[in-house]
Amino acid sequence: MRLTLTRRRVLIAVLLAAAVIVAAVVPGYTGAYGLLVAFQIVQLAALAQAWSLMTGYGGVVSLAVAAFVGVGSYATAEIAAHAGWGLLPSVLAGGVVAAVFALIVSVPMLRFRGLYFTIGSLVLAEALAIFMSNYNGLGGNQGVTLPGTAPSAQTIYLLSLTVAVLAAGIVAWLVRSRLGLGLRAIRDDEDVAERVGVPTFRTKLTAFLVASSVMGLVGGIQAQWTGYIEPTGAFALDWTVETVNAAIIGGVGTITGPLVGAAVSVGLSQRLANYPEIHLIILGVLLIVIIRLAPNGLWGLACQLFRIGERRFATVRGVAGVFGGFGSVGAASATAAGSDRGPAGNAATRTGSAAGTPLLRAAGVGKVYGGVRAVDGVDVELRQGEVLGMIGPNGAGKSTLIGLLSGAISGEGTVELLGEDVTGTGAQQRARRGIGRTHQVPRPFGQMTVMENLLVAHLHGAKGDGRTARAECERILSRCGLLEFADVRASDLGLLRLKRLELARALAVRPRLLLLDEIGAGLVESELRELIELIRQLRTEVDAILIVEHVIDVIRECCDRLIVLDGGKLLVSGDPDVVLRDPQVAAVYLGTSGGEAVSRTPRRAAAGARPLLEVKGVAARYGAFHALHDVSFTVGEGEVLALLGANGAGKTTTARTISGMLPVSGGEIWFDGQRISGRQPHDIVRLGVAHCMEGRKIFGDLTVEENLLLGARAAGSSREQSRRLESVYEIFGALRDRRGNSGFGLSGGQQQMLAIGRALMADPRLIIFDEISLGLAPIMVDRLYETLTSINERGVAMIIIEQNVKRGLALADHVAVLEKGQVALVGDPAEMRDDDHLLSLYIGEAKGGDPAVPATAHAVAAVPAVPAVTAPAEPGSLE
Amino acid sequence: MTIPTGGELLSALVIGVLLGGVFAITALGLSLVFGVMRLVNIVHGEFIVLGAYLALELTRHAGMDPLLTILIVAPVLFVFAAPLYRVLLEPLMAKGPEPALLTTFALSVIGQNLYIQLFSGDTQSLQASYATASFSVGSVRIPTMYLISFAIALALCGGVHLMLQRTGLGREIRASSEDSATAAGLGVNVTRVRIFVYGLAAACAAVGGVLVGLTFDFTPTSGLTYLLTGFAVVVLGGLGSVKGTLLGAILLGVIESVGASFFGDGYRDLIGFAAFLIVLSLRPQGLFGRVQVS
Repeated sequence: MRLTLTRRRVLIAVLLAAAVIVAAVVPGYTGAYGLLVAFQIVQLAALAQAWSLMTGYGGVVSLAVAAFVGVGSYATAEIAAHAGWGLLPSVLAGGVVAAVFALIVSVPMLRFRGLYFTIGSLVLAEALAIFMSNYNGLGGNQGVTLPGTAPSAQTIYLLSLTVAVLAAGIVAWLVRSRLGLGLRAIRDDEDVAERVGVPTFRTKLTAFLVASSVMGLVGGIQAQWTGYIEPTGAFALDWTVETVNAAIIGGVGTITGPLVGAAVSVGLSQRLANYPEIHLIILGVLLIVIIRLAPNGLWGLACQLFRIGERRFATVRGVAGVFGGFGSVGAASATAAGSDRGPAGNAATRTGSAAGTPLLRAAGVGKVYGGVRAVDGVDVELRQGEVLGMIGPNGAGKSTLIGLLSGAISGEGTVELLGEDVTGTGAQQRARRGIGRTHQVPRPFGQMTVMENLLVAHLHGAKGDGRTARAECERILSRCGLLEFADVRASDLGLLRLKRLELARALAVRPRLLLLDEIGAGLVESELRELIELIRQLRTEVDAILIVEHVIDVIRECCDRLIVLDGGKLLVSGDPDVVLRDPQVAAVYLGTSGGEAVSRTPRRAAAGARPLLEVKGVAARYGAFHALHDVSFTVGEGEVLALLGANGAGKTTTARTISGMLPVSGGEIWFDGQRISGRQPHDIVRLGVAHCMEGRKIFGDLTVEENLLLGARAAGSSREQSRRLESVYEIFGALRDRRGNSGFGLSGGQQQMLAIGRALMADPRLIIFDEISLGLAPIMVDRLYETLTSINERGVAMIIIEQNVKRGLALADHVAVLEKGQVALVGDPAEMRDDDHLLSLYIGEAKGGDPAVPATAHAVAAVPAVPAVTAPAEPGSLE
Repeated sequence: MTIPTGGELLSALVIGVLLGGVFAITALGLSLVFGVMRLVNIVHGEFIVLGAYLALELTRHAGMDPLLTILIVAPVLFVFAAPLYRVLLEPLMAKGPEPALLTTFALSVIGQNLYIQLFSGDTQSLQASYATASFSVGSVRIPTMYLISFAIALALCGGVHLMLQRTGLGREIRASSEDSATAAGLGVNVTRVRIFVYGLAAACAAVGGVLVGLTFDFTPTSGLTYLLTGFAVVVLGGLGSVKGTLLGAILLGVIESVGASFFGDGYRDLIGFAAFLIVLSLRPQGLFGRVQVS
């Protein structure tokens, strides 16, 4: 496959070269008109190419083309007129002046992100046009005439052709380079690009300068061609319009696209030369049609139809066979090329690491958001050779602290890295100096492949060598069980693999210090075991690791030292076993370890009664990925169903099909005797199904009360709304106290309460709770589950999706266990507890005993690979 | 550049504040669409101009008083723009910000050239007795039209603000602009909300167009200037806030007027744009806005 691609590439290159030669020679023989048309095409092609650099790769839509073309043409004209320079030098001067102008305006412009940049560019162009029209220097409204004998049209044309070819060449080279990768990373997620070491300002500036110089050159050439310029024409918005049209119609993101677009655009304008307005109208319509039907442009369409492999359009999917997740770590590290580290065996001792020198030292660090002290005067050290754990209740400031340490956030206090004060430096610098971090919610460079995600980090953050970069990244991918997915686009991966990608990418910067933010969240027993194993092995590769976690198991097994944060302050620190037994810590954080606080006797529905909810043979997919195959279960009136399963089994997907957020591709769903599959979410809500979504999803901008009222849309009269509001406040007193507060100000637990309250406002007969315990301290979860019990006692049926099996079983009347998009087990909680099949889904090997709590761990030497997930988990099911 | 006298400065200040009224109306629709849908509606300027042309036709052929045409022109633009959004733009919204943006760009180009074809490129304006009248307050000469525009602006902004804060529809609009997926899950018909907002924005633009036609004059390509002024207002006043739009518009009006008294009227727009660029580079979230995640 690769070879064919190369052969095709060579073919295209040859064709293009031939085209260039033809273009250079032929117009000389077609007379003045032919030369004019060829000239216009070539000029426009160069402009479209330059614009494509910013938009196709950089992702910013610039509407300031006219500004740089105008600057270039004025510079050339003035220099030719007053300094008497010839064709080539004056045109080059035009390009240089345009670049200088770009440099000046880049200071404000490059600070704008996304849409603001577009607006800013339009304003800039227009401001410049107005200025030049009013300014009386530089020839004023009379313009500038170029003196003397004009160079021949043929010569000017050849110069233009050269510029166009060079522009294409530079863009082609740039996008395959380190800079191009950086540019695309910036496009996908600028903040994260910084955190993997991409010099964002410099990268954007380079692209900006290259693009503007080309535009300036084109302007200069235009001035020479017409021999005369004046402000209205030089800075006319038409330049921008034509360029954008040509680039989009041809297709951004490739080298050939702009050329095709230019040809089409010029051809069209020549045909309609007598009707200039109609020409623009038609071009506008064409643009709309292309955007809608062929977003990759005409060339992109041709590539897709004829399978021409210009790399941008090829979507190579890795072979997603059965594989063992983190389990392949063991095998990989033994064969990893270039690794000079020993095997993991000697790294597992907890006490005994030499009292390391502090590698990262934070003193008095703090951060204030609004009036809230997220982190308050924390002193923390990360020492050579240690794994430091950090726990704390929700809202304690753990992620903020990671942000402060890694440079993503600036605040009070000082931070010292490897002996140097880095307090003033940003994330990019710290990444280059050796800090690698993961994000709690994965933030991949979505449009780039897995391999490219690592390459960006490696080439920039680790200052890797271009030649060995690929091999090095392959080694890391293999380590993290992602090698098969190297060519898959990151946005196509599921949550579990995205978390691995986070880790792999952090490793790609060759960090000395690794900061892991809740990397264990959402994993089940077998996956956790593999994670623990991986962390143990990483000890030999990095100098120190800081782990933020809620999953106590990971802390107990991996950490040498443990610190506890609460309310932004450091509460306790020391040996993990000691700290975990400290009563202070227990009081604020641990509560009961899980599920013992809640118990209820399972309810049995009246025999023969029609079930409230019937899910029959439901299938669903995300694009080509089939998430659900044949899911069937029922929920009776007032019953509680626990929907369990490993990550990626399809629990959240199932929830979404029931609430109507995802259409079913097969099967049916019936609620209260009516078919709800295929209906809109707002209809389904009105029928009595509420969905408390994963991640809470409350509206920060609205007050607590407004959030609640939104849940009662279908209530009709405001009296009914008030009644429901009162009943929710009765359950959640904390919400009543804060009814006028905006959602932003609430803690995680309060937000979850609000989410549940909001679901209740719909007066539902069935509520789906999707992972309400994620990210919350156990004591908070206990309280929430008590509330769930009392809600159920009012007769509301519930579907509870839970990672924590024990909690799920404690509350349920029935249990359904999903596996790979199908129901693998159905039954009663009591039966489930001892079922071997269920156990194997969670802990890898059938073992006796309590399956639910990932409790006291016995060190497992080698965990057999569990084929728990064969396909990416539900996209979008992020915390 | 000349240094204005105290009297001239005072005059510029007052005029600037009143001018802010026109700016506010022309910017309100832009702010709404950007705030709710994150869409840079480049064709907004053309909606303004369309309002002006429609009013012109109504005054010419039906003899209507220009201000009264607002009652017809605004609903017409609503009915025109809402389906336009539904058919052309809504399907693109899921694909990221660029496709919809570029489509509005294309629509803008189509609009301008269509106007040239239909109405010729001549400069037009709406005629009315109050359009040229003025009165004095102390030493300051105030064109009546400016005052009328300001009053209408206050009324319009007030109405929209109340709608957003006090009604169920307003709640849905605000929720949809923050998190449309969740809003949909709660039963909000996000598509309908967006269509409504777009239509409303166009209706506001139309009102702005009538006022522009009365206060100044217009050509097929005037839209661009008001688009950019609208951006400047949105940036100065912060996103998603009706109050902010009004304040930002007044601020811009003052900056432009005062600046014009120093540098001359030809540079009026330029000063506004310069202010815009400066503020944006210093404070990307606008003067009154909350921090905007890009």
